[in-house]
Amino acid sequence: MSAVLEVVDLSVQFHTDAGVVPAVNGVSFTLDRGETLALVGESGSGKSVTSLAIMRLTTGRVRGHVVLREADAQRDLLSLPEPEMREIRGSRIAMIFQEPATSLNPVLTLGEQIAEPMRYHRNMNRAAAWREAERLLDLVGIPDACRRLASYPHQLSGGMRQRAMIAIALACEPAVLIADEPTTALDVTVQAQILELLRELQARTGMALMFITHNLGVVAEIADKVVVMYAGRVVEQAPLRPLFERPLMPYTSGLLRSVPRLTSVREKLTAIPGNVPDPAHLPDGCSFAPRCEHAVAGRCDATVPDLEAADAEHLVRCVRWQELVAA
Amino acid sequence: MTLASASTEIAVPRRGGRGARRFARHRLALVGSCTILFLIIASALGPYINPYDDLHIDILHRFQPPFVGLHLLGTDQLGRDMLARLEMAGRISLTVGFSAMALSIAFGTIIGVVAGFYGGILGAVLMRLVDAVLCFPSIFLLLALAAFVEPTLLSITVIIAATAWMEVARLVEAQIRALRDRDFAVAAVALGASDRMIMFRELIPNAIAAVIVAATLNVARAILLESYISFLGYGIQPPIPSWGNMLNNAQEYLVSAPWLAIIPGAAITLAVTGFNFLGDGLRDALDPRLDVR
Repeated sequence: MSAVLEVVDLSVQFHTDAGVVPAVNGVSFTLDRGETLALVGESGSGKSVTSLAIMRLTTGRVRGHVVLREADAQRDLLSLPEPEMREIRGSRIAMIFQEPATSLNPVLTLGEQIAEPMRYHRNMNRAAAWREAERLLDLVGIPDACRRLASYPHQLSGGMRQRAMIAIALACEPAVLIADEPTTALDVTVQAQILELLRELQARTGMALMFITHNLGVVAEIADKVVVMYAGRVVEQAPLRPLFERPLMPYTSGLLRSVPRLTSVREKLTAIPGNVPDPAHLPDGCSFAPRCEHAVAGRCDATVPDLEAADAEHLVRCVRWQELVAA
Repeated sequence: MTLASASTEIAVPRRGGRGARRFARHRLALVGSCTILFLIIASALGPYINPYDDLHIDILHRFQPPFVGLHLLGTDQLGRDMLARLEMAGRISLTVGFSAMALSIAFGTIIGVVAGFYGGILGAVLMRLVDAVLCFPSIFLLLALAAFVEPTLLSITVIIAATAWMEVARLVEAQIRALRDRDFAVAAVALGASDRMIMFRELIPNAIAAVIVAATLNVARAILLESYISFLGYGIQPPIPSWGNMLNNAQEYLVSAPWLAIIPGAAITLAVTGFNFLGDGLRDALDPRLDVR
């Protein structure tokens, strides 16, 4: 497996009236060709900002490196001039958003919206782009594609709209697809269809998928590798099975315990007490310490723990992980 | 076989089939557009049919009331045929109205889009410029400009446009500023669209309803403004008629020959209300979200 996207020490800061707010802090991970990486965390953990920073769509100050490796070239997206970055957006890295209802332009037909990126990234003429748009709609499983090209977004159901968004994102055969909670706004049954579709398309095109979600059920469904974020930092990173079976960071275990299960006995859900800290006023030491049942005063709130390697693929940011494993 | 051949010839669909249906549902809009069409055709073709010349003076037949003699709409204080004058005036007034509208809409939209999209210092400077121009009462601005320029059809059109673009700029700026941060605009950036493409392909179609309404109001307004300056002597110069200066001529005879005022007044009213109704209809026709099915 070869890495297609490499994020190295990515930081995003927002300069606000209240001072400098670090939203993302030293995030690193790699995404291989054909791999699905799930970026998991609560609201405000910095996962969306991370994805926007990769696309250079955030207004915050971004530092670090985002390296896009392709057969012919290796480019650091954060140092590219804007016109070159524009060429990459939508063509090499595409993105689908959470709300298909609002991410489509309400006054343009689907055909126009799918054809548009092909016309400027691939220099296709109108007729060729429309034919390709029809093929794409067909590919994402929209029936009667030819007629649907003339539909407006409001004439489609939520699932159809998200399929259309995926068609737009796939129009230029991107190497990386970033999906920012693409199933959150959909019904459960439709969610499953969309996940299935993404998996199928990935198998067919070999693109890498970066999946942003807070839904661990979805993660279990689709991910190869999981990066757990908390308060702007990566707190644990591992392949899917080890992470689910043997979470090392107390935050990850907490997340896993708070997932509702379909059992006949009604268990009490164990929610993680408290809230995500305000990024402008992060606690000293481990950001999770104030909510952590294993926190020890004097150790957990002293310094920010390093991201340590538990084994070759499993990284964890907790000073006590070895003790907790032993116990 | 049949399936394959069907899919190879997908027609790129024409825009607006459904729009035309939405428009046709709007009764008043149909009435409005028919009125305007009638005014345009009458002004364009009328002078070829009417036996009388609009500049022909016939002192013997002054102040003929309408619908009685040979002159269908009567004659004015110099015995000129009112119908001929009305038709020629329509050419001038409608031309000024449309051209001034097109000019002011184009300029106002560009300023508004740029200011709304980029915001920041550029946006602030542009919008303060708009505010500054808005501060002048438009009639004085109009007169001040007209006093320096020789009144011709072109110069009057430009001058009227120069006093009418600011509202459009404000309107468009507000719309674009609100639209710029909507998800679909962000999605367009994420798809690699350039600024120009986002402004003109993604955002303006969403603001077009408001622009169209402003445009139709601007035609009406331009016709009125043209009559203001004609009234004050800086507009279309007699003996060439415009609806405005016909009204101006009529004021001395308001009691003795009221039709001299009523006829051009009715023409202006028809044109103005016609454009307003048309604007309503176009707004609905251009908004696909109103397509109830």
